[in-house]
Amino acid sequence: VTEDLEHVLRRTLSDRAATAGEWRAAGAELRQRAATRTARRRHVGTLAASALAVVALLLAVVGLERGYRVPAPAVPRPTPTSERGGGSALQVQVPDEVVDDITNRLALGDAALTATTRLPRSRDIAMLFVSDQRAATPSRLVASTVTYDGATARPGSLVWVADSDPVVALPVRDQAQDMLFVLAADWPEGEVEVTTAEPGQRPRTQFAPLEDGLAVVPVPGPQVVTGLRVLGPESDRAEEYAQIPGGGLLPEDVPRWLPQIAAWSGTGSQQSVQVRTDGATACRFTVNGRVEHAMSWNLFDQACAPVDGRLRLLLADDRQYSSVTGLAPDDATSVRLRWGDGSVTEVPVTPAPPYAFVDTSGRRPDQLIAAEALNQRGDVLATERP
Amino acid sequence: VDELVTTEAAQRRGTEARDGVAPSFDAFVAAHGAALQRTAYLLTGDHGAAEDLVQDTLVRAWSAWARVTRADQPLAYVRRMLVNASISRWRTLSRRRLRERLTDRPPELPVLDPPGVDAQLWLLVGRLPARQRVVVVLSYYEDLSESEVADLLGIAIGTVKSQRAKALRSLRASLAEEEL
Repeated sequence: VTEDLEHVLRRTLSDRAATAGEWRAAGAELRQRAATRTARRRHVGTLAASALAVVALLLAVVGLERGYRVPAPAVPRPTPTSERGGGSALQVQVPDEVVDDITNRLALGDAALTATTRLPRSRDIAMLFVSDQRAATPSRLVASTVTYDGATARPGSLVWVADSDPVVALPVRDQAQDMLFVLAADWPEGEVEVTTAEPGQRPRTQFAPLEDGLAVVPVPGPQVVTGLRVLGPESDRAEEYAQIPGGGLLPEDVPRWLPQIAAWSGTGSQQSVQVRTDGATACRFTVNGRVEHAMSWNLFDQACAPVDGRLRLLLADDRQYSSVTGLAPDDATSVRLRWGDGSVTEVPVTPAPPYAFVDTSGRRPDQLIAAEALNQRGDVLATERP
Repeated sequence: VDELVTTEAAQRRGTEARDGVAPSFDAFVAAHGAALQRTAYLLTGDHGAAEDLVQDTLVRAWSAWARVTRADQPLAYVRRMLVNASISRWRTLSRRRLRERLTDRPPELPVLDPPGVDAQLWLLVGRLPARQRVVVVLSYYEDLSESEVADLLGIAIGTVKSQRAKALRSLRASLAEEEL
């Protein structure tokens, strides 16, 4: 390079800028577009303003759970089957009219279609929309899924995403199978490693290739997915990313990698409470399995504590409508819960470390007076009060 | 139907309330739209993406027009919005053409660049990481000082320096590899 690089750079950029094309949009046109967008947002509600608003949106989504029929395009359109890579299931094209109709009917506001994929069993198209919630503090995006079978669109799940998040993972339903829809913006190639854990079983991992940054991974159920890692191509293995799917809802001090479910209550089809751990920290989560596949990871109001061999209560802030969970000392086999009305409940402790418990009696944590860890002989090893 | 009525009513209210300041926005768009599009093209390297980026930024700017006009330099404020939007990886992904777009215009004819440092450099600028590319464009096209770039991006001056140095080092190394 004989010429000064910075000088050449200035000249190159200036020359290229001159080819940027003619500016055509008028202010009035842009104002009109802004008005439409604002009105749509007003209709949706200020989604990101509060947890309550999200719950309201969730209810709206639940109301539409059965889906609605999307009108066929008014004019003949090219068949939306142009898939990349000669039959690749990823990045399926969808006609503009269908996308516009879905965003309007499902009140997705100014959400942009960011990724699509063809689900392997049903051959439905799963669509990932991302909308901007910059008005929220902190600024963030909302990612949501919709499945479309060619006639009917069904809303799926949603999570918050930070601009800086390199990965979005949401569950989608493919007939009776739950799938994890993963979009990794920075890794067009590589692999996704998904960890699932079920109570009493060792965590399991499975891998799926990334194609154009997308992967669809079958999972036993969204609530048992405890971790996600993206592994770049061979030369790029060091660049890994791990998180709990839906971790965008968590405060920064909650570990994102909690691969093991230590204890849980409920079944796959009901709302359940889980104690998840990475061995050092344990957190209590409410997993909303009650709605089939909307908001499968409801991570609001979690509580965390160090795994240090002491009796620890993990209580959500909502002590009226939650349940008592916690960690027990090493030798404990059960925890006795003493309630304000004088009654007691004895809850078994999981047999393997980290020793955890979940009270399934339905009692309210705000009525809890004390918890006592008991060994097999019934000796009180430790007492903890809320 | 309710949705449409709500939408139209909200549009009407918004439009009526802001009729007074619309001329200043329209004038801003007329005066600076082309310049913003040039910057956007350098940031994205794609004509369609640049157009989308600028229009989207201006739509947002109108939604916050009172705040924009209160800024010392409205153009700098909008440019900051543009640059930040160009860095966001998710917005970049959204700009991928996943949706069919029918057009009666044939695709643009390919431009045959004359071989040389300039053409090669443009390709290499397009391969820079987003933040380095932004720093390069703001420094060498917009001619902003280090402190102005730092202020615009909300980062330290030292970070601007290091990002620019990395970018130049990378460009220089790549050009040397090509023996240009």
